[in-house]
Formats: sequence, structure tokens, C-alpha cells
Amino acid sequence: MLEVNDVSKWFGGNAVLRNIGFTIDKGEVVGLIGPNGAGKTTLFNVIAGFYRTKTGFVKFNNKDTTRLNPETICALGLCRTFQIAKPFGNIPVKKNVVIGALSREKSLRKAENKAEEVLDFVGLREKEDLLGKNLTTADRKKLEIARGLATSPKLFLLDEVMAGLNPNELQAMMQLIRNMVDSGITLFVIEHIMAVIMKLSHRVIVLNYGEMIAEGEPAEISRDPNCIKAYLGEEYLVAHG
Amino acid sequence: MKQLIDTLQSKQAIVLLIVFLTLAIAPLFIKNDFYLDGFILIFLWGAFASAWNILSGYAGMVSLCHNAFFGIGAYTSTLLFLHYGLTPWLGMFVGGLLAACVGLALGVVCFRLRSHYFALATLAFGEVSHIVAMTWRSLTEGAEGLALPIQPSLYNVSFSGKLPYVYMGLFLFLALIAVSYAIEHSRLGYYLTAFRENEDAARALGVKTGRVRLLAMAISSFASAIIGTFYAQYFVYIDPSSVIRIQISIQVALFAIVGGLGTVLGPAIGAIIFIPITILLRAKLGTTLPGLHMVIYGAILILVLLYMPKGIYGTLKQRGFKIFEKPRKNLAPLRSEIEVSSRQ
Repeated sequence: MLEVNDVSKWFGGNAVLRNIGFTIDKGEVVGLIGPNGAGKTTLFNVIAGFYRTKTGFVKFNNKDTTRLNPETICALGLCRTFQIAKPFGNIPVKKNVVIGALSREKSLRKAENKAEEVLDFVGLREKEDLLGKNLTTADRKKLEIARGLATSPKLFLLDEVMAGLNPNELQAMMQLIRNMVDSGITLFVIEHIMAVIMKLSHRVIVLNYGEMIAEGEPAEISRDPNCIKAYLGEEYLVAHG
Repeated sequence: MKQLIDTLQSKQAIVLLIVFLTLAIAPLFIKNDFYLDGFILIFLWGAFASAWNILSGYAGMVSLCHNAFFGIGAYTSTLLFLHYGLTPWLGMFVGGLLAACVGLALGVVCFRLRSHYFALATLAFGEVSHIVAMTWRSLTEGAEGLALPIQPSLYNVSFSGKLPYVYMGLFLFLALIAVSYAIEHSRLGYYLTAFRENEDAARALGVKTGRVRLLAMAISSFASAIIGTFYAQYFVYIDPSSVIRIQISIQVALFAIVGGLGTVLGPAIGAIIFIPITILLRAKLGTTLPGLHMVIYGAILILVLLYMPKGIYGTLKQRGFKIFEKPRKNLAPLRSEIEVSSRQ
């Protein structure tokens, strides 16, 4: 479904991504982990069309999307959320989601119906009249997901939707992600909380200083000495070894 | 409760209807040209502020070059009439299309700039257009200006009384409110708002932010030029300092901001309230204490913006005064996050 081949990204003299290559199949949940500054969000920006790369290519459903802009890529069925939630602050929650739904629906009425469905799905329906800026962190994350879901993505990139949530909110968010997977959406997830990523993903990709240092099933990754050194820490080995 | 809201809704709708009917019928009974002139100015500036609001209010791209579009409208129809005898009924559309083309060209170049930088670029364009109109004497006659012959006829869009102008103005005024309403309740309005609120998020959701802004620019500049033609037909004399000076842009911006940016009725309300204040202050104080009327006008503006930062209509709307919107559902008491997650 997604094919990333030999992608590198430079900011001035700094290589933020070096020769990244992997694929994601339909129905998979793939985790993306790595220390801060490893290039995870940059990789999302490249895939979603916010950054251009000069080397390599990105293919989505066998279509080259390397040179396409975000709005076109969204129309193809690839949507992303933002690490720092970007709600449309001065308009109601529902209108936020309707804007996403309009990318698929012809009429405003249909888009509103779709938005209501999605709000029910993520559990924000009773807050649909609140302004985006008045939501709590957890609800902002849900709104990010709701807006994205309203565009009917086939592949959905989630950028740290768990960050800043308390344990209860975390459980709710895990359930929401499972529900998305059940409804047939392929997910590519950046996450720092290891318990979450190990539980949710079928496969994990590890970035460190812009390089892909490992790829494999969660269990393999948690045993890989390279990953442990770069990211998980020696304690992880001791605790889970 | 819901019923109460519904009646309030309809009461507000009735208030609005009464205001419009008053505006429509009152001129018939007013014989004093001074007051009729006031009506025409309210309609003209109200319509113009609404046109400005389409780009600058909904999309948040504050333009300070709408004086150029206004002037293009006024000059195009007037020149076409003076040189080729083309009726201003058609001339205004030529002017509108020309202004839309200029607006689109400007948009292609300047839309990559954001907020203040866009405003500064348009300020420069507005100022340059004034200089061009002053110096391109072979076309515009420069500071001498152009006078339309006073030969009342429908073809010339020239009338002997003020009443026909009042109704032309009212038509433009209502038409632009209708256009604003249609935009706010359409895909275009949603997309412009999305762009204003957060460009990256809008693009991630598939909003073609460049294209929708160009469309808003085209509509806004087209309408501004039509209003420019109306100005020329009413005042029968135009020169760069009356139709292309930069203060025009600042004044429309002021009406829209004071009335309520990005709302259907805000710009119109801004004009309805502030045009009479300007006229009356000038008439009462202009001769006895020259300059004082500007001081009072400024003080009123500051007070409004201090206590109603979202504009008069924007603030009313925030406090629950709604005309064009469905009644709000009763908000469920905000459940705590724990309760939400415990249901899972």
C-alpha cells in the first residue's frame, strides 16, 4: 500500500533522513519509534507531502506521490494528524470535522451526516458545539483523529496521539485505535509509549539519527541490541529480558 | 427551553426584517437630500465592506488594496462610457472582470505571504495604484479627474433625483449580504475558514488552500469594482484622490472590523452604525470646531474595539444573538475524561 524507497532529507548540511526504505501492507499497523530528533515527524511530513525530497520516491497504492502536495495526497486516501494538535480554534468541533468530510462528500448536508458519524465513533459527539480551542488535550487529540477519519483515509498516519494523556485517556485512545483497525484502516503510528506500540503494532520501524536501524515484529525489536542501545535503554533489557 | 430559543430566533429575524424594510421604505418618505445621501453612503460602504470581508474576513487575508479594485471599477466604466459610449450597465462588468484579473494576478504573487506581510504587500500595491492613476495622464487625466456628463437616462445610468441611486445602492447592499450568506454556508466558506484557522491542518484535510483563496479574491475584487462604478455614477466626477486613495481601503477595513470580521452581517452593521456617526459629527461640528469630529469618531472606534474586540455583530453573536444559524443544542454538561474512559 505504501512504498518508501531510498528517501533522504537534508536541512542545510544536516541529514535528517538517510536512505529510508520500507513498505506497509494493507491492514497493517506499523509503529515508528526512535529517540527525539530521530526524524520520525520529518518522515511523516515527507510521506504526507509537506516536505519534498530530492532522492528516492514514495509510492501510495502504486502511484508516485513524491512530488504531490498534501491536499492531493489526502484526496488519494492518505491522511495524517499533527503531533501538536492543530484544531480550527474559533469554530465549533463539528464544523472542524465537516471540513474534513467535505473532501469526500458532495453536499454540505452529507458532510454533516458523515461528521456526526465520525464524532460518535471517536466519542466527541456531546462536545460538537464547543469551540476547537476550548477542548482539553485528550479531546484535541480525538478531534485530530476525527477530522482525519472524516476524509475516509485508507492509510492514516498518527503522530503521537497518545502523548500527554493520563492512564484512563490512554485506555480510551487504545480502544479507539483498535476500532479504527477493525474498520479496515491501515495505520502508521509514531509513539513514544513502548507498552502501547508493542501491544498495538504488527511491525515496528526504528529510526535513530535519521537512519533506519531496525525493522521487525515488536518482540524482535525489543530484543535487538542496537535498538536497546539507541532507544529502549539497558534497563528495558533488564526489565523485560 | 428549545421553544424559547426558537421564538428568540424568530424575534431576531423579525428585528432584522424590520431594519431592512425601514431601509427600503424610509427613503420614499424622506424628501431631504441630505438624508437620502446618507442612505446611499450607508449602502455603498456597507456593500463594499461586505465585499472586502469575503477575502479578508473569512480567509483572514487582510487586504489594503481594495481601493485599487474600487478605482478600476470606477475608471473602467467611466472611460468606456466617455470614449466609446458604452453603457455603464455593461461597463461595470468589464470593470469587474478587469479588477478580478488584477486581483488574481496579485493573489498568485502575494498569497505566499502570510498575515502582516500580505497586508504590507497589498498596502504597497494600493499606494502604487494611486500613483499610477495620478501619473498616467493620457488615460486618467491625472489629478484633474473625469466628469460624467449629466444627461439623465437609463442607458447612461444617470438620474435626476437621488431615489434611483438609493435603490441601486440598496440592491448592491442586499446582494452582497446574500453572497456573504451563500459563501458562509457553502464549501467555499468552510474552506476559507479552515485556511484562516490553520493552513497546514487545512491542507492535510484536502483543502486546496491556494485555489479557494484565489476564488475569494476574484469574487471580492469583482464586487468592489461594481461598487466603484456605482460610486462614479452617483458622484458623476472621479479623480484618483476620491476613488483610489489608500484611505478607502482602510475605511472599508474599519467598517468590517468594527462590525465583525468574518460574519455575514458584521460589515453591513459596521457601515449602518458608523456612516451616520461620521456624517452627523461632521455636519454638527465640522464648521464650529473643525477636527473635533474626527477626535470623537476615533474615540468611539477605540471604545468599540476595546469592549467588543470581535466587532459589534461578532460580539452579539458570541453572546447568543443568532439570526442565520440554527439554535444551539443544549450543551451536555462536560463529562470528565475519567467518565468517558470508564465507559470503554
